[in-house]
Amino acid sequence: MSSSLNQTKPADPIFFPQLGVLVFFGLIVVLIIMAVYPLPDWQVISPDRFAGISQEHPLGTNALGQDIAARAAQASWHSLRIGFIVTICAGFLGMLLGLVSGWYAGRWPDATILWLTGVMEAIPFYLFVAAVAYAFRQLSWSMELAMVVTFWTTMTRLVRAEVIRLKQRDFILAARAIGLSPAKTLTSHILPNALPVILVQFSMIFIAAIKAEVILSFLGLGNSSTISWGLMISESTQEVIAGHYLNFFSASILLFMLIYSVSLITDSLQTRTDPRQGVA
Amino acid sequence: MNPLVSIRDLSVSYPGRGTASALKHINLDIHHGETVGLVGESGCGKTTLALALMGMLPPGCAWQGEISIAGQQVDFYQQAGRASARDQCAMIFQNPQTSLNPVIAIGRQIIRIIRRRGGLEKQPTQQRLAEVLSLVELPAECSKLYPHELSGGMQQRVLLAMALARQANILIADEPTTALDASTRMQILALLNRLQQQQNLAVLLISHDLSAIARVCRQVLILYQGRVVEQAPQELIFRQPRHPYSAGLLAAIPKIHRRRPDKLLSLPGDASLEAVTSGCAFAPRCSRRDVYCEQQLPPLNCALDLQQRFACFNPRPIQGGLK
Amino acid sequence: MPIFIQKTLYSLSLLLGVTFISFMLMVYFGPDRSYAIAGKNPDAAQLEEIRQQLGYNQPLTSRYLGYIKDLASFNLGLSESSGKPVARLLAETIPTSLLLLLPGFLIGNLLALMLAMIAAWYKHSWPDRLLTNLSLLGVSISFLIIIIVLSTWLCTPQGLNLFPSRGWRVDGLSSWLTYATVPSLALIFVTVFFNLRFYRALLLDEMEQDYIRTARAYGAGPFAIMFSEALPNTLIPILTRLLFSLPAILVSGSLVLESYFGIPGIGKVSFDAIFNADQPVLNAIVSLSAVMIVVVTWLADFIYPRLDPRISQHLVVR
Repeated sequence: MSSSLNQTKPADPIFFPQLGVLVFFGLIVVLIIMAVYPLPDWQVISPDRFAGISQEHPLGTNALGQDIAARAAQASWHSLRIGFIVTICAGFLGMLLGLVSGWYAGRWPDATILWLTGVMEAIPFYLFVAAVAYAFRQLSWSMELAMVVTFWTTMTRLVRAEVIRLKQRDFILAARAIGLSPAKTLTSHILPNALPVILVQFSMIFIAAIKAEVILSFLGLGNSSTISWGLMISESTQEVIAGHYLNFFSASILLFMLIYSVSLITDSLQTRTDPRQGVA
Repeated sequence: MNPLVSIRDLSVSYPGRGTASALKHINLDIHHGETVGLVGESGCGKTTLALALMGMLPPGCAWQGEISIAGQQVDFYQQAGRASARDQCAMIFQNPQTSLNPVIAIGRQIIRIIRRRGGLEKQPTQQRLAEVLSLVELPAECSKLYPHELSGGMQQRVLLAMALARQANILIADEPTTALDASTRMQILALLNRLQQQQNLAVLLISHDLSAIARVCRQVLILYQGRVVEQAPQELIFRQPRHPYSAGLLAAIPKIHRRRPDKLLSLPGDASLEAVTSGCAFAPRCSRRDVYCEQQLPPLNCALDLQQRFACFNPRPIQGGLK
Repeated sequence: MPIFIQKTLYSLSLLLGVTFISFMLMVYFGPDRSYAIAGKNPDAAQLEEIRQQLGYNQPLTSRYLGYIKDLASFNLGLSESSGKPVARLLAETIPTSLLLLLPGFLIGNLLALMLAMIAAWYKHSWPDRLLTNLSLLGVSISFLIIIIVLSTWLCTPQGLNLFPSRGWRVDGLSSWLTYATVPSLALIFVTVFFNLRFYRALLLDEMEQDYIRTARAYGAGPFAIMFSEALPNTLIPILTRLLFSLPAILVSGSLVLESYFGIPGIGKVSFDAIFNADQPVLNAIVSLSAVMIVVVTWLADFIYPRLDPRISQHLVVR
């Protein structure tokens, strides 16, 4: 053995943790440029089919001569909107149910919520969305509704586990001993401590919603009144065989950028807040 | 005769935990059949020394020095499963409950070790298993049980059986009795003593429990903040500790047979890795310190005494002893 | 055996919940078939008669009870679009889906486990970091994009053109390889990256345990530590993930794969049923998936005590 001074520091497993924020801002900048750039309306059909990249059509046109850049921009906003709506609704619903379930662990509200979680997890997601879309076909937001109703379950399970874990801690016992109400104890003592888990789960729901929306609209189960990445990819499957890649690439690269950046941010959030995942 | 284990000038530090090192310039020889006790407060580097011997320090340590076992220098990090002189070492741990694989029957856990050492003996595995179990005084039926079905004392016996199955010459025992209750502790120490004599094991017993050290060890090392502050045969150290820290440790043992227990003695201050001075690390807590102590580091051979070595400029006088 | 009874009751209540939701969505709020049956320009009396026959006028509870009775007696009815009995339709298509999905699913999980072992062994050094970064990249690529890229690359004249781009005429290993390779590759890709981080986290947790330290101290090598020491302790979460993702893979995963590659499996059947509003088929598939979940829960209760001696029989609660 040599008597050298050997030193290696364990590192963050992600090569560039800042990359997530960077990609996310890149995406936002691209979207802003697209919003500012004078693009034709995304619905307008022109005889200019499969046009290449030009000043008028920065990303070319599709099989109907529609401007891909305009469609991509519209689809991005559509995706982001669905992502945020579903995340906020499903996230808060799951959080609320998790808090109640964890607080009353072992009693009937907990049993009911757990049962509901089990039921929702036993129903195949895409079939459920299809059925909801049909049952509530008058509503334009039936897909969002279906996602909210199914995406809360993991959040509930996680928050419930956190509440049960924290409830045993001395500072919570002390808060309850001095007569703090359950609602106050939950919001001012338990919630802040469960926040890392909740934040991570919020972004997990966001990713799941974006991915699900893409697959649903690819399958034709989405909102047909607007354009989405899934529809663009669905259109492009025929175009790709004919050698026209612009539609496919613009949709898939935007989709990838969004999911990758949110995944990276989630991951560094997780590494920072979970001591077990963190640097030894 | 060459020592079985020889540690030369070993220093280890954990980056990110202050500038203080976990171990500083340790020299230690352990001969065949010798029993060495390592004493110190928690955080003084006892376990780091054991892990360094096993080549199992956490990655990212800074280290310096040499370790040889049976005359062979060993790498600082032991590659898992790679044969080396370290095969002569076995280690038992503080918490026997978690140190055994919870989902595997203990017989299989021992057999795995016997198989790994298979080349040396022609004895059938099952026979060898029965033999090591009887050596640690466990009934043979125990081999079918799982760790959670055993008591803490029995779990520690299983770990000792694993050490025997490994045919180790050196047994490193890191706080082996701390997690056990008082009566089991005595049984395990008695078993450790007997195995040591039967198998002529060299034992490195790490403990903050001086009574355990007194039962098992011939040679005692007292560690303070990563440095050996006193090293002497057990009888000497217990009768007349020279270093003020050793004296303090010994005085802190409550004595039952004393007529009226006076106030429990404790050392003032604590040993957390705060003040790093150029002088003696113990000086801030020491009642015998002088100006010199805070300037200069006392070497381990302050007196020309090969039996009892200590690192102190103002040692307690020889006749002092314990009150 | 009170726990046993409790479990049975819970499973039954789960089935009741799922069937109630599927009844409400697909039958109660579902398509009204009376117009289709009555033909063109029906008068009110005709419509009323048909509605009477179909039971539309009965109260909710008796309609639901009738629905449950039909399901319990496997009286799944006829598919509205093809006229075939639903039970036969399922019996024909489920084996196809299993043949298509199971190999990829298993290979993907096995591969993920192996890679996770490598990552956990080289914790925080370059193989671990490489795999972690790759898996983050991998999970960020949509399943659709993987399918399209793979099929364009392997199945079209622009790419290598090695495999047919659609269809399923399987009667042996070589024909299976012809039709299932590309879908399986896509499935493996997704499965590996979806599971890699989970398995890595599991194994990393185990690697911190004291018994791993003991195994190292007693001379166990990397393979022995991973396979004989750590793996037996992670089998329960791994198996849970495998078992509980199986119904989802079989129903939802097959939907995309089979509709894209035109493979007549359960996914294609449900895809067609969705677009034809073919209630009997959709009902059967939803109920089937709920039954699978219940069966899987039972299976887990049966297997877990064998994997971990600390778990006594029937104490697992998911």
